[in-house]
Amino acid sequence: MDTSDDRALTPEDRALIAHFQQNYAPPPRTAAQRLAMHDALHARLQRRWLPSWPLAAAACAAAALALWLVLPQRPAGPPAMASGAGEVLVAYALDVDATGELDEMLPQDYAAVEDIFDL
Amino acid sequence: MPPVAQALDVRAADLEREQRFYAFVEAHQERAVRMAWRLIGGDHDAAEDVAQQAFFKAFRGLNRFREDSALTTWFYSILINEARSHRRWRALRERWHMVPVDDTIPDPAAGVHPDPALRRRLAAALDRLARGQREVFVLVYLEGFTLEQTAAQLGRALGTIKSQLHRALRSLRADLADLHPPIAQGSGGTS
Repeated sequence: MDTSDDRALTPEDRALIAHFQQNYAPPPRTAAQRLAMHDALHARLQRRWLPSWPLAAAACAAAALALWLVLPQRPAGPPAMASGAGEVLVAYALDVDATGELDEMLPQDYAAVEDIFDL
Repeated sequence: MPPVAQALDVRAADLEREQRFYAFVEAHQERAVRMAWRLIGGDHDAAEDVAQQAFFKAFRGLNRFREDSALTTWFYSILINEARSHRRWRALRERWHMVPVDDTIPDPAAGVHPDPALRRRLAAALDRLARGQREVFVLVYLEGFTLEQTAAQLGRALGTIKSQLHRALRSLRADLADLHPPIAQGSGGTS
């Protein structure tokens, strides 16, 4: 036994240690066991980069699904118009220009264009 | 360096690292499994798992240790830690189920041993030692590591290792005094 503590060992100690060495050891491993460990380690090494992209893809998909479920449904009809624009359009449709109310209802930029052409 | 050349360089380094790793596994797996088996008390499947886990963890540190001797010391430290974790989990399972979890029952090694009863007796005696004493006894007397190597692997002072070895031997001699005449004789020995 190659330890620097050998000088302290008595014959009884050596017998005790020999008992352990002979009777407290696993049987020799088979070639299949060695191969199995090699394969298992190889598989783990190949897997070591895998968790990143599938997890990221799954997280993106889950977030998209959650947004789709949580956000309110879009209305089926046309979007609601702003109240001012609606009134102008209604005025055009009703031909209220004759009463002179249309000029007041037009937005300022439209009124400016109208002034240029002096309609 | 162009990106393609850089990628090839990284791949080559990866391959070299894997080759070095497999060579290391080849060189140490017998001892690693045997040592794990002895540290956790004779369960072959668990010893394979412990050794495999230690090898996998060691792979991450391959680049940190250029010298094989440093890598070896570090690897066996990992193995010892993994064996401790296994024992802790087993103790927890025993406490949870309120009955001892006898991992040695399905061990195929039991059928091959010349004397399974003696093996169980030795395992039980080792199990009764304090953790530090058990580890030091296994590493020095059963696995043949030097005192210095054992001190480095366990992160303890040389004097601590010596005193734990002495106490382990004294306890085992007393525990196994009835086992075999040569052990019983003069068991008062070296105190």
